[in-house]
Amino acid sequence: MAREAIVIGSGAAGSVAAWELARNGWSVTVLERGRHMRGGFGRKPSHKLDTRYGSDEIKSARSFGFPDPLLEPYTARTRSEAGSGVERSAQGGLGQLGAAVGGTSLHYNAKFPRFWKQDFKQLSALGPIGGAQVADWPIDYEDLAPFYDQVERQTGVQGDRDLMPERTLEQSPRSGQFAMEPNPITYASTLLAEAADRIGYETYPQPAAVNSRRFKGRPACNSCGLCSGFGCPINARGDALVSWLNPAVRSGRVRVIARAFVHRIETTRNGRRATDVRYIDARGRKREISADVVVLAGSPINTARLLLMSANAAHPDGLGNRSGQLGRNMMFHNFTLAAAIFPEDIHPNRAQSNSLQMDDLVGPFRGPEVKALGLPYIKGGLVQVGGGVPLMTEAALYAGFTGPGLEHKLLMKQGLLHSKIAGSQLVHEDLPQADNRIDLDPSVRDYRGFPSARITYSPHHHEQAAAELLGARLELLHTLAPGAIAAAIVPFPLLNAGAQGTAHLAGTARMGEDPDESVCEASGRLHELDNVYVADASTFPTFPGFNPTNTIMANALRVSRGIAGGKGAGRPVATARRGE
Amino acid sequence: MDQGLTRRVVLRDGTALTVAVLLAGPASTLGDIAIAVTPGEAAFLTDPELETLRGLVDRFIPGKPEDTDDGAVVAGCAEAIDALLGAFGVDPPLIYAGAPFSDRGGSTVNHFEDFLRLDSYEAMAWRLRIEGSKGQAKLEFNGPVPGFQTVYREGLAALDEAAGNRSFADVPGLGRDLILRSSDDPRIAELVDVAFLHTVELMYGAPEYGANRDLLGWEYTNYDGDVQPRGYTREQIEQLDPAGAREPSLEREPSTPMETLVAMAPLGFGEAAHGILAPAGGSLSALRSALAPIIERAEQRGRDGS
Repeated sequence: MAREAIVIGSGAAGSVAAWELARNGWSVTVLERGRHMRGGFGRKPSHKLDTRYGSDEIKSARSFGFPDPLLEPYTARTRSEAGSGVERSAQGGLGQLGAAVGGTSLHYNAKFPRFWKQDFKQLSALGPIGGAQVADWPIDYEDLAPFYDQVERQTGVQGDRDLMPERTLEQSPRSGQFAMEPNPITYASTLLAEAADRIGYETYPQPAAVNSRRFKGRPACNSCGLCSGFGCPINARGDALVSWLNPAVRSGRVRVIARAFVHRIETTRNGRRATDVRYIDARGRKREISADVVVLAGSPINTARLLLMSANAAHPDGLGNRSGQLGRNMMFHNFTLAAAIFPEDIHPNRAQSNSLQMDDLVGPFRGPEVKALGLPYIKGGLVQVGGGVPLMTEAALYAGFTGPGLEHKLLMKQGLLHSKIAGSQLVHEDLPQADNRIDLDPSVRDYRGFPSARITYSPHHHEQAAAELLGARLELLHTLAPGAIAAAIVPFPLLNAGAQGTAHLAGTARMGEDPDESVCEASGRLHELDNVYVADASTFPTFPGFNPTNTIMANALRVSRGIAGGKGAGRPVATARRGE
Repeated sequence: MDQGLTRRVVLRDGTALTVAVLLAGPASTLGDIAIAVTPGEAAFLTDPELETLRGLVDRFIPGKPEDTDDGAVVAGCAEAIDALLGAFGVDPPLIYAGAPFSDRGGSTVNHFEDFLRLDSYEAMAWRLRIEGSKGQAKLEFNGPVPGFQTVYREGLAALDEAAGNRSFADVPGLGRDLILRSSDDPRIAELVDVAFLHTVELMYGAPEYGANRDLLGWEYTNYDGDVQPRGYTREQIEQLDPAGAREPSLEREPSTPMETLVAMAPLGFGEAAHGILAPAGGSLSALRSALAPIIERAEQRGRDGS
């Protein structure tokens, strides 16, 4: 008889897990709190699916495909606010991740780098940093490498290995060339590439899960520019849904229940096994469902919230939280942004968001300038090179600067942000800190009455120092762009004491060898439960500065292969104990 | 409208960048001025309220003669806001335009015009946002929600009161600016807090939502708009457009200090911009708070540099 799994969340992690379990003959139910966005889902092949997305900025501004900020608010505060007893200083759409069948991947930027070898053994190699809980991963790059390969093959990734810097290939070795050649490099990016070259930095086409030619029946990207934050209207982007979930459902072994909000996991009296999963369906009815294995894949904030809401007599502080680490080590990628400004229209938006990547600010950096700031090292991250924003986004940003009136209109006519800048984004590594955490808000609720997730967060001195030191290098680079008349940076870690709006989230249920210091073991299984696994980025012990989706998918594939009894993950305890 | 048609075609002909391919499909070239949302179909405000709203959006994005281009009134922003307030007066509600294409990027059909059906979650969210909680306990799980309808109705009434119990719209532009700047009426503050960003969205967003008529907001900013499914060619991506393809439209320089402009420029990166705008939740004051540290830094740098 087929084994059964419940997967909670249908994004990058959940879709891959469902696919892999189904491939191994499991029967899988995926519970997703969002709605269906792709017409024909589960019936038609992925290249024939319809979409509810278009190149429509108003839809994006109206939370299309996101949890509604009124119905399901998050709350947030800084650590110093928390220290002085402030319950929350913000409330609304702060979680930044989508809610839809296919998850945030329906409108992600699809940048697809790998993490580096050095990221998996950071504590051993570089030592501790005061105030942070830097830890080694219980797996190595080599453990993930075959899963990276498979994820990239199946999702369809463009790039060019021959143009990647030597150190990048040393740190993230690849077994082969990318499935597709890069998109054309947008003019704005080439200007910054010239500037980088002047100071000895190397840029190269950023790997992206976007078709540059027809792939699995889906067309090539035409660089329309409305990419990050938009569903692809022509189906040119590889994502959790088209590449994994839809094929899995069509296999007949996976069903997806949309608008199913999971609020509790019940366990046996001794707390060792999950017995059933409780959810509210689209019509508001309370439902329950059981299976051999439960896989959490709702993304770090929601996974922590669900485990905390599932507290019971055997798990008084939340499911699997004997270590006290559940909800802690919440990590967000902070950004330092840079722009070079030009006197004429250089159309930075004609690109798959941005064309190039630069790894010269990844680090670690250990020079005297770092030591002078009281740190043993700093790590930055990759730089996404060359981009702009579409018009309505520009207009909304100016609104916050000028307020109403003619000045706003004149700035729009000048059109700096949509036409005359080449922008870049340094994706900062965020160190894990115990008090950067998710807990349950004491009074703010969602519309069903369940407590909202509360984010308590402030960047570490490390992130601020990295923004200071690496931001200066980024500013220099942009100053050197040929034809630029000015350049500037916005170093968010230095400007913002709280959590920055970002779709890059990790932590809250870190994996590790020691049950006293981590929530999950290497297999993704909660230390304290035999049949509950975490497949999403919650398990990441650290969060290096790379766009995370490729690693989320590769790790979910590793975890789910382990559940199914395959090679590549830790000991599949749940399977071993089933015969007991 | 006839005049609009003519103007639109003329502009297209003069815009070498976008014209050539588009004109290959003759059936699609005129369809792009269709206004899906018409006042009367979906509307909430009374005629006098709508007139007051026109007087307000005119100050948000002024038109002629203060500027050489028309502004929010001619673009239809007041009517489009009214359509949002009355979104649930039609089926499907006017919240999310259809997909995947308008007819501006080579599609012969304008899918944007057919608004999407909402599921019960979306309908609940947008009814709450627009109509407010109205004392219903099940909607006040985090306290009362006033709703856009109330914010606009009360705010517009307050504007007329501040104008001396006549229509705010009848006050000359400078007088209206003065009222907006000097008023300490919380009803006006709450109105401006949501209405300016609504105006901006509708002015520069897709015309199917009722504003940006004749693509006014895209023309004077030299913006291509939505270009799918045609997209861009390799030449258009890799190279600058041929000289003269786009005419400068800025007759008058903005007065924002250069250091502020430079300081804000890095925000022009898609992912990060979304990360600023989404948490602000459509509130101008929340957005200004989020951007304040960047402005302060710019001013600091300005002082250091001087």
